[in-house]
Amino acid sequence: MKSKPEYQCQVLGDSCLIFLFFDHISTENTQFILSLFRSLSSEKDFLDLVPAYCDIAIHFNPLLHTEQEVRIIVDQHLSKLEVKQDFLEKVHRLAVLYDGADLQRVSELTNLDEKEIVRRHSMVQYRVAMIGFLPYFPYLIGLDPTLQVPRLESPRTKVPAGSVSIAGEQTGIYPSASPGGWNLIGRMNPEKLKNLEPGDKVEFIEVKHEDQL
Amino acid sequence: MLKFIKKGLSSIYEVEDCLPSYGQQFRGLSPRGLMDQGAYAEACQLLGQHSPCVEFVLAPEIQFSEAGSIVLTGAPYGNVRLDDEILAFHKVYHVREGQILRFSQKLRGFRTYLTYMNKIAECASDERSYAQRYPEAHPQGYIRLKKGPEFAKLANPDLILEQGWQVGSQLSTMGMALTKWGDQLQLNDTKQMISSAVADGTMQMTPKGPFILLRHRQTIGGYPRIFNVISSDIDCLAQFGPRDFIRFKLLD
Repeated sequence: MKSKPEYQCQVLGDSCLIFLFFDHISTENTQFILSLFRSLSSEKDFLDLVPAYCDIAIHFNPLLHTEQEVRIIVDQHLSKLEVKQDFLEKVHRLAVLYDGADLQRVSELTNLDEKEIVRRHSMVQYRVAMIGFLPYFPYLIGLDPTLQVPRLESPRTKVPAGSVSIAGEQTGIYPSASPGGWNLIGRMNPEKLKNLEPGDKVEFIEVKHEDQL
Repeated sequence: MLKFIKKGLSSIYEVEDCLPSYGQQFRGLSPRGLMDQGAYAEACQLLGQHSPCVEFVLAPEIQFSEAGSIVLTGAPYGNVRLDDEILAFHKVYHVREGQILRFSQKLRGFRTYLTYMNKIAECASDERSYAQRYPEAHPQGYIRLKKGPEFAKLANPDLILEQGWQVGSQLSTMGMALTKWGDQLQLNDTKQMISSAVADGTMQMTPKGPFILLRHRQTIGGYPRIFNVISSDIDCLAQFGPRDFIRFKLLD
């Protein structure tokens, strides 16, 4: 970086600060956040770092550190940050059976037939931007903009493990059964999610039968 | 060392699971731990060491399979008996193999803690009252909030300071729903936000109303973070049960 990037520092309670750099999801923004995440990982003073699409959260002990101290450490890292354009990229090819309970809803909202939804969802390459919400839940960027639909009005109390889902400009996969508000379009073997890391690439391969998962 | 004659609604925490454990949130693992850390800290101080613990909201009936020491903390019961002996809270007792512990008449609060070890501890006790331990959970007390990152999306934020908020039936170690009769909190901006980190005590504005995330929460969320309970009041939240009234105070 030639100049220090600007951020907005958001306060989440008294023991977490969020450093917000961007207002939209993009591959470049994800690369920046993940580079800062890797740089800050060397700090032993923080309890937890949580990278997201546009920001990075720092959980700290308010009895040991002030917000000002946390900001100074982040500024130090930003001033010497090198943004890696290409991570050592692993590509995961994941088999998906597109039989999700919300395919029809997505079809009505997008005016695309189910076959076209599957084609557009499985033709692009995604990147793992962050992992969270549930252990091993990957948030993938790269969704075709024509597939953007809102979350469900009322979240399901139980989404099955392995559900492939979309919401807004995001696609993700439920690693375990949980409540959830995303639109379910397919399912895969959830065990395969344990190999994913932030920065990896993901491709979905459509299969027609259960035993191919 | 414990045998459950009746399970109640209880969870056993091994000693390594009792305290929050940090460093895994980027993988989606929240720190977890017992819900009322203050109640557990008090018990450990009385026993003289970190020890395993049973957290319960509905009393179990327990038989001790070996001799040791126990302390009760958290939500108090009016009648606790070790065989025929009446036990008090906040006091170390010695137990013998085969003795049975029974609870009745929960007085107040929500979560009770039975901390135990298979050694004889020195007899110790803590004389502070419930109100001294939980000033914020007192009927006249307040849970303290700071504004969250999406606070500005609330059309009528002052509603959170009114009386009449109650804990909803959706309540677990992951979080608690809040309900209220009459006027409801409204968002003036329903544009979906980009998922970002949440913390202990984050109050999310969900389509069903406000929801406070507790220690066994997710690490990232997509609902507006309208307020955040401060860290020193998270333990008090653990003592609110379904339909309990809850009042909030907003810090600058």
